[in-house]
Amino acid sequence: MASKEAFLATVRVALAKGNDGAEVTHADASLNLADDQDIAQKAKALRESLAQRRDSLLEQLHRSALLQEWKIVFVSSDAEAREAIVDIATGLAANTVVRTSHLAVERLGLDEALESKSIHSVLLNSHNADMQGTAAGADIGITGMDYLIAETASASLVAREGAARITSLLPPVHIAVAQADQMVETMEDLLIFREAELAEESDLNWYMNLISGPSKTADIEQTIVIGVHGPGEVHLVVIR
Amino acid sequence: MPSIRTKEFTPRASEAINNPTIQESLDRLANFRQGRADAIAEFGQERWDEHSKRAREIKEKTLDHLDHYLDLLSTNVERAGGKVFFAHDTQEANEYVAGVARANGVKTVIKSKSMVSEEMGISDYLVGMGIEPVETDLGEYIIQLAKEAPYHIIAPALHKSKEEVSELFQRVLGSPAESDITALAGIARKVLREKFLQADMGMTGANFGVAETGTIVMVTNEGNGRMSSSLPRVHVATMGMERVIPRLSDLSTFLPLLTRSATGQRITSYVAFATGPKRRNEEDGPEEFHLVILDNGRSKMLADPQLREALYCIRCGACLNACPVYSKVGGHAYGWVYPGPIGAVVTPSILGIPIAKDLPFASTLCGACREVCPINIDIPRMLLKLRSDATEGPAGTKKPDRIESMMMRGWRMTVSGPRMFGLAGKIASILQWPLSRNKFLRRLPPPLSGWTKSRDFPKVAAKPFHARWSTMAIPPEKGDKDGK
Amino acid sequence: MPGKKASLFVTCSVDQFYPEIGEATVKLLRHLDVEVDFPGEQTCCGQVALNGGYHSHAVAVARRFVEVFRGSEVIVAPSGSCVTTVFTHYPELLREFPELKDDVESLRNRTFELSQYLVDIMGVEDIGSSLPQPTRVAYHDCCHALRDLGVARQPRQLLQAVDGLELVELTDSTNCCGFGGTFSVKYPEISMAILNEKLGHVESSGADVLTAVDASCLMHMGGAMRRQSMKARPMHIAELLASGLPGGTNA
Ligand code: SF4
Repeated sequence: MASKEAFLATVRVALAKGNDGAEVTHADASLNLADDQDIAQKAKALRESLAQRRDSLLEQLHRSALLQEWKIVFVSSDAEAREAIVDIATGLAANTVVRTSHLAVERLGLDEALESKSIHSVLLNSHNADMQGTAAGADIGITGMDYLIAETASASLVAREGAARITSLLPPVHIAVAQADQMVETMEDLLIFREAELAEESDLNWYMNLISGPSKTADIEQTIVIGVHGPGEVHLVVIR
Repeated sequence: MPSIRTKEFTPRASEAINNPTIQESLDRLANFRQGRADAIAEFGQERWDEHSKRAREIKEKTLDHLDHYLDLLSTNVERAGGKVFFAHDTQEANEYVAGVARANGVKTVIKSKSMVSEEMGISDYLVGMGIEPVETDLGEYIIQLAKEAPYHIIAPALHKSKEEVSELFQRVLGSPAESDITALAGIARKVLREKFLQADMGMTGANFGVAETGTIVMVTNEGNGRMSSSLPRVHVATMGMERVIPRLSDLSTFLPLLTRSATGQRITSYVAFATGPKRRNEEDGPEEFHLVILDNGRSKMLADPQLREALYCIRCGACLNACPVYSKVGGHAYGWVYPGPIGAVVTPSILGIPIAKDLPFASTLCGACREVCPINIDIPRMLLKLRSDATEGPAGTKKPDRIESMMMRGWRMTVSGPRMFGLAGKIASILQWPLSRNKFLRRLPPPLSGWTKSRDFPKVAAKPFHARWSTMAIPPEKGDKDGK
Repeated sequence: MPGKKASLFVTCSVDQFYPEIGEATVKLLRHLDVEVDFPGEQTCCGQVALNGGYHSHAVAVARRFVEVFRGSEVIVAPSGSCVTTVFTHYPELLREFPELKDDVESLRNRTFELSQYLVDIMGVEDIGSSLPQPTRVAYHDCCHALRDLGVARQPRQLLQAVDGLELVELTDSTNCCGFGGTFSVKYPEISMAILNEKLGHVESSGADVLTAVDASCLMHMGGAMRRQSMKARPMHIAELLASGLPGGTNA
């Protein structure tokens, strides 16, 4: 059995050989990790710059969302968002939806609105007796999102209390809800914010997903099939 | 390790060339090539080149300090509550995974496509223990049912027509005949959904391992990577030791390159970032997380300055799609886990040249692979290096061809000076006389018969250029030209 | 452009198999007032050995090449792949001889493929060639010329300027022809599968002539074109260009 030390020793020997014998020391490691203060400042500057560009970013998001096969709606209030979601659910003749307690969803007051249309709304969490079964049996999963990337129409989601991983995974339809001020332009922007958050929380224990459209495959004859293991229909509700 | 059939390169290549269904599926590689070109155009060539350059720099520096970043990665995975196992070879890796499965009473393992797990041959290993491994990527599931090796790094069932998939599903799953591709995918979805919900262990690869955070990154379109890392009680990720990157922010360099090079996508449907097992306040996720980091010959490549850059590979598959040879012979001819140009470098490097000697030679060295590689990996250069190891390298790597070596010695003498060179030409022009037909030769003895079977070969000129120069040495009168 | 001097590296295959290409190259250069010399000690660049993995042979031949062309100001060859051997591979091949480092560096930067020399160095746009009858010409991008030397625009520019020449683009013109040196002999079936695809594109282009900057690629494609009795004829770019000059060649 290889221990870490034995393994790394092999690597070191290989490195020395490959570098024509030149010794490599750790202090040499030239890709410096993010400096906490640096990253905080970077994040602050980025936040300001993004705020100024919000309208053009929204347009960019709109274009890329269509390319990525999201069904996207822009609304201007929580009430409109609620309406839009209820419309989607009734349109699909849904019986059950599962949702997270993410702030962007929680404040919409979805449960009553859905129940009034006889659609059962369940907050999915570890108190559910059969979480996986409940999620797999639901018609729709509704989640709030943390960030939106305009360039690639990607929505990010960190699993946390009240936000189960499977809410956006097991039901055949996913509705993602986000605020316009959660928008960034590129992957690079998103990772700057993540790094800043990590620096603050110093809690590295996290699971994140970047969702950029429906589940799909092209594994048979390179023909695209939508909806393999994950949701085949995905909606993005953006509250301006 | 999975079966090694590298010695059957030529017959298996021939099989593919003469199989119209396979040629039809290989023609579809054009979609990948076009998709990639379009995606880069949209991204912007200049921006692309910048990303490429930065990616290569990051790879160079990371590998220069690989011990450091691996140490950091494992420390951070452990800090997040995960376990890390460093495996020298596939046997060690398999035993570790088996141990985890045994300790957890695992009966079913759901797997998300991973080249390293193919390299390990973990599926066969688990079967031997009475555990059911289920591939969940559609393409990988198809070839698992067909008991075949992946045909392409990112499209494992590239070579199968929908008719063949339908037949396979009928035979193995007892499903009805189906000619619609969406319906075929639906059949797999249904079977696999049940497996997902009942599995006790999920295995995934790792496209990247982020040292700074201890995060492994999984890039998928189907969602099976998310399933495998979210549903079962245990998540085991396997990665080659070269897949570590220093910082989270480095992903903004690599991800755009990876997905656009691979399938021409701006981004895949899912990119999942997993750091350790589920944390206390999380609602769901695996209770155990294991990361297996594999060497299996990679340190040999690390130690060779001429082969090290093969470890920069991000397994996008673009070099396969661009390769004129892969585009005709397909994936199985390469005989092991990694096909195509990068496979022709990696396979002999890991398994040894004597058993994989064909691979570095079975290339036209056209350079298309280097041209499309997002990390600018110089594959042709490494193929030349492996060729020279095969003919002149140290004992153990060397596997020379006697007749050819003799011919090369003859050639070397021939080009040692103009006199020998001229003489050789004269001799050849006498020898060719009985074989000639007009200005061309239609039949040459072996080993040149391979050429003349389907191509004419030119005759050696009666008067070579060296001899002609003496009459040309003085330019014609200037006046001749001016008078035109 | 007075006072230009160039040494011809004719390459071993042109020397022995296609001396007419060498003659055409000289004719072209002289037509453009380049003073051409031919170092008589030359033989080969070593590509054959390099390609086959015979490193030590390649090194010996490369060393010889460096000596033979040491005194040449500029070296011009009617072959992209031979120039590539010098340009791309010599630094690595001769790494064991640090005393040659500067020579090699200088050599690789003054060795040019013919069309590259004419367009990039001489600044020629039109060589003033005119074909006796209208000819459809397809240009094949040879791999090394294209990917190592960046030769793509130069030959096309020269061809387009020829009177009576209609340049047609081949589908997938930048795809390899399947030659690959020893590859074509070791793996004839694969080589032919690649070549046949190429020839299909030549056929559908309706070209009368298939041209390229490498005699060896043309030898490969041409060998099969002849065997298959195709309409198009293979012709090296030097011969094609020179054939339209006053007192044109027999080509
Ligand atoms: S060698 Fe380059 S092109 Fe080929 S799979 Fe690796 S990264 Fe992609």
